[in-house]
Amino acid sequence: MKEIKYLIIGGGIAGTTAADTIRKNDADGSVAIVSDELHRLYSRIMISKPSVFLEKVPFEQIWLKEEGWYKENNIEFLSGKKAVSLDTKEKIVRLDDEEEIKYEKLLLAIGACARRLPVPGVEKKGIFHVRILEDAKDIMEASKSAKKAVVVGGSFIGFEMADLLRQKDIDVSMVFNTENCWEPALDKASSKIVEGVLEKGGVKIYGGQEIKEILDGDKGKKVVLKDGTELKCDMVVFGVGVSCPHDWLKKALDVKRGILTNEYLEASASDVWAAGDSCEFKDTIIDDVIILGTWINAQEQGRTAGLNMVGQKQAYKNVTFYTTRGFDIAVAFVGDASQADDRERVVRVDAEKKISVQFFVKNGRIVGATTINRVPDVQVITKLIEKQIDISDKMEELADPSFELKKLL
Amino acid sequence: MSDKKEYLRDREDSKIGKIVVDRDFCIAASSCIVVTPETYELDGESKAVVTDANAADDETLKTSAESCPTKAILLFDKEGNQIYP
Repeated sequence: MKEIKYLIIGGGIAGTTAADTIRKNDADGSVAIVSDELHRLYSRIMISKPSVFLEKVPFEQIWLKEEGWYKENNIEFLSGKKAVSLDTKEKIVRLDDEEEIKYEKLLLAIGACARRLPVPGVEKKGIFHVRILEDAKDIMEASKSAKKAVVVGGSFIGFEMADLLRQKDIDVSMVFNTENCWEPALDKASSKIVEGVLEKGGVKIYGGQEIKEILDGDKGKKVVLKDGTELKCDMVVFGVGVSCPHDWLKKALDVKRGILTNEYLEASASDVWAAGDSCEFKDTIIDDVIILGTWINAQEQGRTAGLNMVGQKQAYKNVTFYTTRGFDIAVAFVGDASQADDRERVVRVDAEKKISVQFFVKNGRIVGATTINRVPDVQVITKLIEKQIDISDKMEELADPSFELKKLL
Repeated sequence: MSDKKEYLRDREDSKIGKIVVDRDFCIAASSCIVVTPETYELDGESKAVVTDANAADDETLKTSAESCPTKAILLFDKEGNQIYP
């Protein structure tokens, strides 16, 4: 049986950064990355950005590591293989080709998968989900000849895809099952700002709707909604959320939305860590157990997990954010921008200027925020979260767009 | 027309003569700042700017450029040839 000192499942930014960190601190211990993708590390962000999608830069720009990087750093790269079972007692991972690997220390950086709706017709040609390099290439190819597209989902992916397809002059209809787009992450006022710019940008919105089935039409496709509306199109792109592919880990580890860890990214079995989109971790800054899907969070968790794996024990403490632009607005999500029973939403909005900031407040402290066209606020909000500033007696000021947030620091 | 900001570097021990940040590509992922906070920070538009082009050595600078998930950081040698990406 193969024996690896540091075994990493997942070849994305979390897993690769962990491998890099481990190698920088342990020149001799064997390191292996198992990835279910065929490729070396690439930028999952770039493949849904205008630079690549509109071919402003060559596709080859997406690579973040040279071909030779793995060998040069003595990191074994097992690509196109899936881990299917974990025995934490014997410390063995089994792969889908029956190979078994015995580990000393294990990192699970398995990421998140695009959710698939059980809609009849979803397996047909011309229907796309957004996760891997091949998806991006397929969508780019389809968009070259498409005249009409249906985008399913009204959050990050839906918004970005609608923007990219409109930039290619493709007619876009957007379908989502919440009343307003980007709910429940965005509040109503912020949602309405986004819907306004989508409509101004030529997107037809079908909110509060679900898909009944996707049929093949005379030319192209027909997306049939549950209310009977038929949307003719040449391609369909789904962006309806993510799920963590952790079924195979349920018997071995504590899992919920993701793989549960403490603040040291340690999972519930010894010598097992988790990092990135699949990691549901104890965040000691906001005193909550959260799961994040940002690039920088995955990268920095990979680094922290790697350090912990080589014996440099440290908690992961980081407030991260993600920004996106489209239809001439800038949207940013800071910290843990999600609703929960023990959280209150406070919103400041100027609908005319298309500006909004939504705060998520728990126990008198900001734990997360969403902003539209208030990118300068992102850094202030990051500091407010980091420093755990008590704003319990400043709720009115939070809701007042004319109050300068930096006064709270 | 892209929005690129150039920062000249004149370290004697360096082969890199210029750092360029393409602000159209920058999404404030901030991995460059994590690598070398002495070199970069985010400006009021949450785009990365170079505060000190001479702060970091070549290896660190290359790592910062390589860490950018949108390849918004370009590096040029002293003759003006692009060396990254």
